Amino acid sequence: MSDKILINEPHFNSMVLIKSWPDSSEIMNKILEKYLSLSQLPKVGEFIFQDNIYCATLSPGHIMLFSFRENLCPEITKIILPEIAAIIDVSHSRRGLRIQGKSSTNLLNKGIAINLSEDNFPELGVLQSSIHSIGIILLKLEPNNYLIFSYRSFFDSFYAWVIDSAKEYGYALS
Amino acid sequence: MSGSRLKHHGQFINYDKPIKFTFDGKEYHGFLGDTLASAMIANGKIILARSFKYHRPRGIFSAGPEEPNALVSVRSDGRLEPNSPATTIELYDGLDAYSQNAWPSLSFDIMSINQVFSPLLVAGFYYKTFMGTGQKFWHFCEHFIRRAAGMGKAGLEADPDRYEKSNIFSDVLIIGGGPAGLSAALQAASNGETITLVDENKHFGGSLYEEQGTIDGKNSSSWIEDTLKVLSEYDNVTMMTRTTVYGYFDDNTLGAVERVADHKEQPRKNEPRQRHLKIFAKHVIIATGSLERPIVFAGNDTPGVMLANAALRYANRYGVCVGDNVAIFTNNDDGYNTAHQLRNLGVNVTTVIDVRKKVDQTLITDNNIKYITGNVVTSARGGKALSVIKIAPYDMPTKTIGKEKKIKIDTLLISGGYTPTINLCSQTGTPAVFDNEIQSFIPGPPTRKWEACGAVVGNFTLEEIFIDNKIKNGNKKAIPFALTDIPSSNNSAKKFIDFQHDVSVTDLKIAYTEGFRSVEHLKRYTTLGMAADQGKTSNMNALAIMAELRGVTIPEAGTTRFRAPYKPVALGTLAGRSVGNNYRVIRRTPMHDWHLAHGADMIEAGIWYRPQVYKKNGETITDAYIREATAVRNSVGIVDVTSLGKIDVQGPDAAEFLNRIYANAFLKVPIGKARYGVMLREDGCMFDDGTSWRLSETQFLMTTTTANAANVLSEMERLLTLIWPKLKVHVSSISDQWAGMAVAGPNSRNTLEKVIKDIDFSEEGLPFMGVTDGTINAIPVKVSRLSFSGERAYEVFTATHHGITIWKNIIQAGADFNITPYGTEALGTLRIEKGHISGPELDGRTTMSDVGLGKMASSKKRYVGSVLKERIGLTDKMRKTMVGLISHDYQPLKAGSLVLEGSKNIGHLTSTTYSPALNKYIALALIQDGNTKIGNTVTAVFPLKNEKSSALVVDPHFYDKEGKRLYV
Amino acid sequence: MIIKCPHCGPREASEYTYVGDAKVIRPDHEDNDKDKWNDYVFMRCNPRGKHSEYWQHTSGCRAFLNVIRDTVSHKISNVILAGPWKIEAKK
Repeated sequence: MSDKILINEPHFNSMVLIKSWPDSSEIMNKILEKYLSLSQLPKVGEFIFQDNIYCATLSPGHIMLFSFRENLCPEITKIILPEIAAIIDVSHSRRGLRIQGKSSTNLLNKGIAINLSEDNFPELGVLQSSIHSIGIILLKLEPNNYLIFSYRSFFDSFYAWVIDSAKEYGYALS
Repeated sequence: MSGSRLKHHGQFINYDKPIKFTFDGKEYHGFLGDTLASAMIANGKIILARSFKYHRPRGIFSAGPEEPNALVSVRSDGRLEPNSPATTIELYDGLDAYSQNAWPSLSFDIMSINQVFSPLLVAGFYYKTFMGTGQKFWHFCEHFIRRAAGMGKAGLEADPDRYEKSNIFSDVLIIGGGPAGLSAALQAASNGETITLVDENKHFGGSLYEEQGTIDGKNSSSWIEDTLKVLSEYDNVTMMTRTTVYGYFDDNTLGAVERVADHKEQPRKNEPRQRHLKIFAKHVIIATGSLERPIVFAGNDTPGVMLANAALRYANRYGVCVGDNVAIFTNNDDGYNTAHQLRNLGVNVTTVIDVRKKVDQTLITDNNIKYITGNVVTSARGGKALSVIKIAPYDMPTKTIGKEKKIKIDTLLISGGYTPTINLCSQTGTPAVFDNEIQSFIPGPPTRKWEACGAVVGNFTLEEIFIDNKIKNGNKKAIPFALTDIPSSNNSAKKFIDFQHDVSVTDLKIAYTEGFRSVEHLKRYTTLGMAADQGKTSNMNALAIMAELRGVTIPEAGTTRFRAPYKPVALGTLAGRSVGNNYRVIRRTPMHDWHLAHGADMIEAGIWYRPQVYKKNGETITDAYIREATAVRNSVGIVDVTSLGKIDVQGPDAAEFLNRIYANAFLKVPIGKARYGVMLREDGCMFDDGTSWRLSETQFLMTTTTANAANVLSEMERLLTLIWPKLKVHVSSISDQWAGMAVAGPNSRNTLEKVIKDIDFSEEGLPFMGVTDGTINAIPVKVSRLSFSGERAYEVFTATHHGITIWKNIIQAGADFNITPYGTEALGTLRIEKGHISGPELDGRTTMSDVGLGKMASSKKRYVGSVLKERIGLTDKMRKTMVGLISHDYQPLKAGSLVLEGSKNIGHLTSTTYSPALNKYIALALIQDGNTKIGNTVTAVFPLKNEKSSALVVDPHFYDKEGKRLYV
Repeated sequence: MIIKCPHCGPREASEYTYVGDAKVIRPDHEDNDKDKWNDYVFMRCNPRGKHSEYWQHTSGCRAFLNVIRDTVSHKISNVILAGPWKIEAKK
């Protein structure tokens, strides 16, 4: 792992929110497990990377998919009926940043009052919180390697915050 | 007194690194390791400030954060920081510091005339003089008083330095790196838990540097060194110096300030000057030690009177001698220890005066010192420098003094024992309990996950702290006892308790006589302990004196609860990086840059930035919005409506749910149709309005006002989760998913037809309120035929990413019709002309009937707010209802103006504009029983600017009441 | 103040929005008794000590939590999930 902070923006073509109901969550799980060829969906607060899709369980019955693939939402809509879950296309709602480097946890802790240590938030963990009053979804890919999504209309402010916070660790925009 | 450098080398001083600095513009010299205070003493200067109220010259009194006197301003311009204790400022090359409270100069201060008037400036002076005589007199005097009684002044320039904020998590937080804190860290380190050890000083070790005994056979300095080395080898231990924990908040959340670069001339590039830390600790160990307690006697604020252990620290740590002829006034064994150590270091201590008659004879060891027991110092004199003290035999039970005797000295050290620093414990809500043995308050049983150890709980000796370690010849225990004020033959000499706020024994007595006897009242009436030092050196003495006045014990008199901050925190540190462009977040639409490139004046709508007007060729805002609104009425305009709240409502019960939350019917909205809806709060007032588009049997796209988007979502979630958990509906914010633009005007259809080939724009194909999908250059769009302007209009939604492309495509297509982008001003004009409500009318107090939507509310169903909207207050005939106003005299009307009928106020103006369609100045207003007032003339007054205007009351639908223009 | 969200773990109170007294029961939707609605909307106890209240985790999972909080000490003695997923959470 480099000492330097690295920040880049991966472009996700699809983001889909899938919200089931208590009596339909098991069916939804099965459909998604089959679709993603998984033996089990990730537990609440965890994600898995499979078939170019990040599949995160945000809360019971609430799944979020991020993918570089296009048209994920129409595919999901075809296999999950409206009675099973609401499927919301949020492909354009958020933009993501990859933040890595030795100081990335310290950088995030300037804005997030959550213990991001390995014990408390191990890799393949996902959480929702806010940084600088901006709602975020944070995925920990590995120690000091994060994927973080902000709402799109806030992204300029969010990006400015990240860049400013990174300066202390020697980060400079090239 | 004149300070100097000792032959003894100060433990903290690097003699190879001389330093130049200035005080009040004059150059002085010191060494790396000095504090501003130690260097100034070494330069023979102990008066760095004058006092707050009386402007008395005051000398350096302590060697730490408890300093009440030597508050200075440090650095200049944007970096200026007032009210900094010189005792905590680390010296660096080029440091500039300035005295405070002195005008025109430190040695000659005009305001010290206040001393002459001091009988007038007693406790409650301001209340008595000004509050009784009326506000005007206070306003007249305030300017002069503020100038006379002020601490340092804040700078007016922006601070160029960075201040950062961070969050820290630790299993164990140890506050204080003295003997107790270090030994606690050693014990905890091997458990593997994460440990954060913080100390506010530059060095760990606390009082150990003056400890003469040995620990495990090592002298204290080598024990500190070894201990720090051991601790630094643990990965789980983080050690932070120059870090002050100032607040202990709920759930073991603590606030701290790390002074990252205050000891440097300038921070490195991008290095913060200070960092605010929020520390989340599972367990907290409070080892904050104790502070020496002064003794109260006449003239005790004379420069040259100083705390005994401060003089010892100056000698031992900084190699600085505080005076040539030094006496110590003590009430405990530790005073002797200090005297002997000082002599060993080369300070000429000549006299020890002890209140106690009987003293352990083994303490009397030095032939060069005159030990006077059973005596007290009754007064100290000398103006700007102590020259003489009076001592007298003292009978403690009767509080009487014998014959006074003068002693010439230049420095008097006082040692009244130690007061535990219980501030942080007290902040947790744990009541302080009085410990009779040490005559002081110590923390009561913890109510949260913390424990206190060391001097803070009254364990003043190493033997008590290091139970398992072998301690040899440790310092003697300094058991303080509460000495109240000492009588004096000179009744006019003041006995100060709180130096920083100039509170004297007389003030306490006045407060007592006037009935302010509870410690809580005493504190507020005299402002004792309320200065920047929080009464660190004054509280215990004040409590003892008040208890004596009331004839009760100290615990009976009680103590006040300490509040955060333990030490002042700069506002800039609390603000962190939320300054300048980072002050707050903003939301931008994907068309933001286009707006800027086309002359838009941007305006904040909540946190969104929206174009207000697009200025052309030197237009004013008014010119621009009139042109834009006229273009919409005559041809076609386009406005960015991305900021509208958008909520996805999905699930088998979506229609049923909307039917329950909208006041009008929603159950049977056909697929492919939108409906305007009004939501009420549970109390029956209007909450929000907007349109919901039925996209499928189970899915709606709801729009809300920009301002209420988050509240509407939360309220829907509340109803679905807590009230109707069986309804199968999910609501999700999709505000950021869609860019929106409204294309409005008689040529809107012609414009869109040119660019959207796959939508039938005929009346049958896309009727009013119809919703359909199409594409523009293969990019999907959703088009709904809605109108806020009253003209034929369409809202075009597209995925945010494509927003700018679609916007440009439509503008290109509209070129033949001179399509005009318009901003929020024209948007407002158009909707006011139509009498459509918006934010100013949805002010949280209005009902549907008030704004003319009463008939829209369904009488066939129950919905949120349906019962309470009928309550008496909301159906009163005299309620204010919405009407239109037209200025009689062709004058602009001001929003917020009052509406007068004769001289009676009957309402107010909500929204105002110039109407290009009517060529009149018009307004919407809420006035009492408005429907019956149509045709009347009223007066709109704006008292703040003394403006008056006569206006005709009309129907609020100024323009095209029949709605024919929707089909043009 | 820190509230422990059953989904997200311990978070500062600033991530949550106070929703109201959890003991107040909304009248049946079809009920048109004004007094009942009046009590539901306006009448509140203001206890010193334990209080059962709803908080929404607005900056996190958006769940509604039933929190038992001491109004004097801010001590939280219990947090459970409210709403349709409550029973699921117990499983």
